[in-house]
Amino acid sequence: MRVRLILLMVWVVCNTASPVVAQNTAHRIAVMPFKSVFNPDYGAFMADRIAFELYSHAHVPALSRDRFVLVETDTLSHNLQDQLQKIDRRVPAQLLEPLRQKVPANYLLTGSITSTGIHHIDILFLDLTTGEVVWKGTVRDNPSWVWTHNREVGETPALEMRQQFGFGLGETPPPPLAVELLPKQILFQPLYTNTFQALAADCETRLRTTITQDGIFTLIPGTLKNGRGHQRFVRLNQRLRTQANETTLADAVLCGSLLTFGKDGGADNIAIVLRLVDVNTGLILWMEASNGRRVWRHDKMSDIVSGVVAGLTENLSQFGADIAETALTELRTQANDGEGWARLGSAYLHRGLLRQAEEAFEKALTFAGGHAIAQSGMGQIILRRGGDFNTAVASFRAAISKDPDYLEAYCYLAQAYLDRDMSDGEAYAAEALKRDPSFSLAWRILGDWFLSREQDREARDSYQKYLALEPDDVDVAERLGRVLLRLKDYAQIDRLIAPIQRAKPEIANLVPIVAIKNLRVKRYQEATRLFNRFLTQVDLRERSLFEDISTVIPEFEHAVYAGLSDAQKKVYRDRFWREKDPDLSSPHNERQLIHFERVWIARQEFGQEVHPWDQRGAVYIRYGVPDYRSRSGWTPTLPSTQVQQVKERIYRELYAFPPEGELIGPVFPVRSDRGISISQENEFAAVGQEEENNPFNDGLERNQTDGQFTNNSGQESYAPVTLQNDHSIVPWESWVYVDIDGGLVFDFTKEMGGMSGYDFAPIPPILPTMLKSTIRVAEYAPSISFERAVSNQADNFRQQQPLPLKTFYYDVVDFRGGAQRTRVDVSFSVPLEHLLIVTDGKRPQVRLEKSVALADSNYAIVYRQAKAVSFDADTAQVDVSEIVDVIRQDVPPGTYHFTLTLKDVLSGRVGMLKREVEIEAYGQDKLVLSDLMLVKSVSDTIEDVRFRRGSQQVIPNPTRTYQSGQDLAFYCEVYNLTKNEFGQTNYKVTTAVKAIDQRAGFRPFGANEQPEVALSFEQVGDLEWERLPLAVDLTNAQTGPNRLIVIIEDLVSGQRISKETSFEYIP
Amino acid sequence: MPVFFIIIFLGIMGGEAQCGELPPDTKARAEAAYLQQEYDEAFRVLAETPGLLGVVPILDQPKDKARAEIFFDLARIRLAQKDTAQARAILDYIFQLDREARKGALDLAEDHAYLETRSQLSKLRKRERQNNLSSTTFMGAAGRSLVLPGWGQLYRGHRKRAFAFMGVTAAAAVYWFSADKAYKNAYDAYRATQVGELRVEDRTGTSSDAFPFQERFENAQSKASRANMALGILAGVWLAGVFDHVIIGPAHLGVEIPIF
Repeated sequence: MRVRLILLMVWVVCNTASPVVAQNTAHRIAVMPFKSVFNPDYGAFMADRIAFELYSHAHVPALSRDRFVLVETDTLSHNLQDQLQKIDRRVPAQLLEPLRQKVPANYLLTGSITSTGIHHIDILFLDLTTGEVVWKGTVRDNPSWVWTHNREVGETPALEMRQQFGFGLGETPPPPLAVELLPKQILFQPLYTNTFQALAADCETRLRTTITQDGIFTLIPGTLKNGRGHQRFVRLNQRLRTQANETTLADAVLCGSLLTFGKDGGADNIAIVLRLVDVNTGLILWMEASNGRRVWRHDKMSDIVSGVVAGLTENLSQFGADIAETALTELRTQANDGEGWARLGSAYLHRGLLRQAEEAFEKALTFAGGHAIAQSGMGQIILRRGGDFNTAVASFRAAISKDPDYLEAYCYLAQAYLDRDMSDGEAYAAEALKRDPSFSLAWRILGDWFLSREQDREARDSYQKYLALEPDDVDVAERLGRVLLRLKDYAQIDRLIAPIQRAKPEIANLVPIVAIKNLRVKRYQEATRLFNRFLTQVDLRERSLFEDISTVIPEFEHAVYAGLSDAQKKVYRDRFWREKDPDLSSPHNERQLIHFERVWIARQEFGQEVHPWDQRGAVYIRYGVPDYRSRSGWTPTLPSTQVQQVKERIYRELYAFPPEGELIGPVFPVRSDRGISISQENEFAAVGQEEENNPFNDGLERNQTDGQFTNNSGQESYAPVTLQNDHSIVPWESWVYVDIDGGLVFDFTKEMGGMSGYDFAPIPPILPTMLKSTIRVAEYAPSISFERAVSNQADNFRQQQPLPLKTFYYDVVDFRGGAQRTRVDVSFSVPLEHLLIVTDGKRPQVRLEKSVALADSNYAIVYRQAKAVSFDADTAQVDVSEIVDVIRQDVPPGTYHFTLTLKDVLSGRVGMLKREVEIEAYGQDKLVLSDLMLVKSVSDTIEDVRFRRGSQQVIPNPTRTYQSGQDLAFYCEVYNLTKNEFGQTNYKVTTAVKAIDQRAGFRPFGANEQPEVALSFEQVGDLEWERLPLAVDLTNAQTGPNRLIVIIEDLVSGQRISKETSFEYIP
Repeated sequence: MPVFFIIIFLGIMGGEAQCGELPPDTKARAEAAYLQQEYDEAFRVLAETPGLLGVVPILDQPKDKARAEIFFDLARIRLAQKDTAQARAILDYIFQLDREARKGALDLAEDHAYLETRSQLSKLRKRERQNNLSSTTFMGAAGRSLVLPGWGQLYRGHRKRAFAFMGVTAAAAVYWFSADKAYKNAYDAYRATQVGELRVEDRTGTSSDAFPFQERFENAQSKASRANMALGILAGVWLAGVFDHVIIGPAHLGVEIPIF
């Protein structure tokens, strides 16, 4: 790193001075983000755009010198910026020093923006050495000029600024660095924007992909974060650069800002300015600005983003062109004929050097050979630059006509069509495969196409054939894994994906596929391990998507959660997931695993156009797989009765007329080429006398009496989609959940042509005449339905219920434990007849998995025990025998969420019990009695250590039933007995059994408090606590439910304590 | 207020530019180094002229012609070194500063480098002119020729052709003007003929009788015929000037770009 620093400093000197003027170094200019109260994004972007204009004129070729270099700076406080704007000629001394400390430059360009429709940018250019104002002036901008003057976003003020500074054709951008000085490892920081973060993330994804594909620079994973976890910085200050230097391998950080202009807050014009900042010196090594515009409504925003990104990445590639030129030296020397030039062009194209590629291809076309490669290369260049589709297709066709055996041309042509959802591309890929079935690229293109169409079987076949030819392509392996998950073909995942995942553990993307497969086959432990590994492998930004619970918590908790610090958020998350855990007694959290699965699927399936996912992803993460899903362009399947009922109910609420056919698509009206047919309206209008019998007639007046709402079948309109009547002109998806909030339909449409993916279907600006009322439209609008559903049921987790264990008994009692703790004894018994007995060798056995969990009241801590144990089974007495066991756990006293799970391993039956339990505190200061544990037997011979209590064996009786002739045995402990002057304790034990009066009605003489059985005796001891295994003769007890009452009187201190429990006495 | 400030500021800058000449010691050192063929030193001295490269161009000193003269010498030095690539960049810069630059700030005798610098600047001017001509259009040229014969040819760079058209058109116009004037005179004379001029009482019935009506009418008719012919010639030449652009394009100046 130090060597790099020295080299860079040498470059600064060399680059800023001609060889003979070495001592004259360039000025350093820092451009501060402009203060813009009405829109901070605008201020940040305009500062970057003007900085780019300066960068573009920093070099004077006539003298081989830079006028200045741009440097990254720290930001100034608003107060300081305000004071600066008031300066006329010279910076006051008290401001100058703080400025010099904040700004590592000789000159500072700063500004503030006021808006009165037209934006006025007051710019101040300061000489920080002398403190003098070098230049002060105002430039103007107006978003509408982008259209009326045909300008790019930010171009107008930047040009005005350039003219006022006197820059002309005599200045150029600085020349690229020498190869040895170029940064190799780049950290890509998210673009600065507050308003359009989703769009920014989309651009970032494309930038990352393209830069990685070009391969000139290496993008290192991760991003910089400040103390509050923010990643979008308007400037990379010294602290962030130090962080980049010390915690990453980055030589430079690529960052920038994004601004959009559009009607009604839309994003019709996109502009991005990128800058490459050296982490050591803070010098801005490279800058570029790029713009895109949506002219027509049908223009895809994804295409515009592609064009914007292509402009940026091409220039970045040109900046690093020397690296590529070095790598392509051999190819250049071989470029003596058409083939050679075409190969060179292809190599340039793969590195994103489009200009050089174009030149090489044009050169190739002047020779006899290589025309097919050159023509298809020209087509690819056109497509990459976002040029005319037909011209590109013509190039590919020309390539095929030149050489019909050049199979790549078929594939590029197929890809061009398929990228535009035109299935004609399939035929070209098939043609390539017909000529050569081992041409793997065509299989991949077909696989990708089928994957996007959710034709999973075809996609699986194509990918399998591709992987047979290209076994090392893990990207395709991942796509195959997704297809297999959709097909629930877990055996193939084990056969094809798991081996690759094990062989290449560094590939993170395959891990979730195997994890999800394990989750679905209930191998929770393995699924947990794999998901945890995946989360450690992915970068911080991706991990945060999986860890973020704001996607599943109720709306009202969002503000609370957002206001927490990182540490507090983690505690909040842990508690949240424990609360959601369907089985606290197991070490894994199925609900959280399901969340990971849903997030991963949302990223893969619904995050192609929008980062991290579109609205379908948001719904999917909360509610999982819908009960019914249909999509425009699909052959519809008939929904189940329940789904149909939900749809019909909502339809009835919305519309005045019955539907034309089965409701297979959106119930909410979506953009269509016509609404309800006129004939249908007339038909219903004609049978006015039948209106009363019309189940759709709710007596409400129809909302549209105004002519503006009258439907015209020739105009664009809004209508629901049915099997027989689908006139939709917008891509849609319809999801139905039958058990969410009483049954919900979420209708999605792709209105923006790709920018925001699928969003909730909007409320139609022109309401169809068949609607009952506008209120209903608002009520059932998918976005509002979603908000309502979230507030009623924030998430949905449908666990597949295992076979239940028919009967089991349990008892929870507590005793004094270790220091400040209470020991909880959870005893349980299961009748042997409900368990599956298997003879292992000569011994019949049953095998139980027993687990218990105690989560404190706010799920902060969970005490968990789980163990699998085998019991010998007495097959001679299956109908009367039972398995009894006990689990002990020391916990601090308090209220706990108690979960007991018993699983018969051999039959798979599971018994689970959840309840709240109060765990008593056993202090040291007064007489205390433990809970009363009803027991089957107490003996002096210890046969099973699990039941040992001191020197005795106490076998609990969780059934709490005693039969006639049987003594009531129980066990308790008494603590804090007081010793007398001889060091002895003396206490009295009284036991009583009393039937619980279950008779209803008034008792004129009050309840009978006289016990049926009572016994009292005195005891002397020498310990401060005693075990009391006792038995009560039940001869005089009444059958039925009874209470056992134990009273301890400390005869030394005079303290008295009592406890009671209940049991059933069976005759 | 900001506008006032800018005006004052630019005024100050402009005022300084007037007196922003090459400092005498810099000039002397650069000349000495050049004469001793220490070109790098000469270049360094000149390039380090105080204020030559400000942080932004409005702070550059000197400006315009004086600045172009310094860069003329810098280009001359590079050409003397045979560093044509760097010389090209400087010449482009000079050309933006002062298209008519023909001399440097240093008092040096003419040498090959000096002549080469001038020649290159001349070629740049020629190239610019060629670029300008190449950007002319047929419609623009035809329209101009329709307004004024030869103007379109001038616009497209065909000077001789333009002047030829102008001359011929002018001659045709003069000829038509004189013919028309003669016709009008003859016509006026015809119209002024009196019956009394027939001298009826003196007529003998022979060819010696006066026929003023007939003679003057025939004279006017003859003059009219000539004037019409002259007008036709003028219109023909005029239209030929317009349709000439069908066969001619922008002129080719024979641009040479030897060092670039």
